Amino acid sequence: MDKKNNIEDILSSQELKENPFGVPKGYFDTMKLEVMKKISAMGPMEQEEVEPAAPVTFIAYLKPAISLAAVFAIVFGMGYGVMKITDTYTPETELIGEENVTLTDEEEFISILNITLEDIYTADNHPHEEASGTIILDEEVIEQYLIDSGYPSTAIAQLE
Amino acid sequence: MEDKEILRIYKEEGKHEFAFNLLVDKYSERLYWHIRKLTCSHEDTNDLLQSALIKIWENLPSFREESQLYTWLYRIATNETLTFLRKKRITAMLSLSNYDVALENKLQSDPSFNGDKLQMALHKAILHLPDKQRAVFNLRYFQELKYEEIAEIMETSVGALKASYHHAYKKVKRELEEQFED
Repeated sequence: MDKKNNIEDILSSQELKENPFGVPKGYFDTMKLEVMKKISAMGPMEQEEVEPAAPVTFIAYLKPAISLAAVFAIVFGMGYGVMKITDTYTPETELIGEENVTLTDEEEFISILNITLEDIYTADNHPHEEASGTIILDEEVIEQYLIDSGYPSTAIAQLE
Repeated sequence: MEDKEILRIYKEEGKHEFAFNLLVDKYSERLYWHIRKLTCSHEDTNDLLQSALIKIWENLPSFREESQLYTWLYRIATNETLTFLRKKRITAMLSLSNYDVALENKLQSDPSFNGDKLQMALHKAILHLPDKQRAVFNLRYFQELKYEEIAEIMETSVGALKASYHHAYKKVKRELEEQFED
């Protein structure tokens, strides 16, 4: 334990941080001369030419905004184009069953609608319908429906 | 002489070489010892130092003073050395030898090493660290630079450096404890 604490103390000491290496005598002077010779041999320094900044025009200032707007316009245009190509909705015609009916005016539309409804709810076609439009189903109808649906006759007999 | 003064002289017409002379006088020794602790060889250090100084001369016109001058100088010297060590390791690997062993042998056989047994043990333990971590350890432990300064040199965050130095210190301490346990 003592040795470990000693190592900690030793590591913190300035003695251990002292430079243990040496250099040949006069090395740094010789090295400097060699470097300066090499630099002189390289020739005169080419100074970096700093071009004066170009004045910022109004167009240059707006350029980023215009570019962004153009990108949005292209993306929006492409999206709208795709929607147009794939879309089958035609606002001027409606499909009713298998027929295309062109609606001319409001009155004609209402007359068509009325015919259709009247056709569905006449007494001849639907004898069990009351005048108010409510459909009443009697036992015979229910029984016939169950038989037609394949319901077992024993089960039907139990229902009675 | 202050770095700002050296840079001011450098910017004067016809004073580039004179200013560079001042810079070499002020920093060459510090850069030398920084490189030497990484390479463990005077010959390799001499080559790398000269190469770094020439790079500094070439790049001084474009030095924008965004960092301090001396951290910029250290950065060039450190990058030159780490590139050199990387190439040496690749060469050693291709010839199926171990560059760590080569470094240790260089240290042990260095005729200019004047330290005691403890210093030899310390430098050997430091050699066992990865190259970048070694550079961080040396800058902090021997040169006693601040973490912010080392961050400018190594282009790493202060947090990462603190963690790196802490681990390096623990590794070195553990190695010394194992060596001096008996």
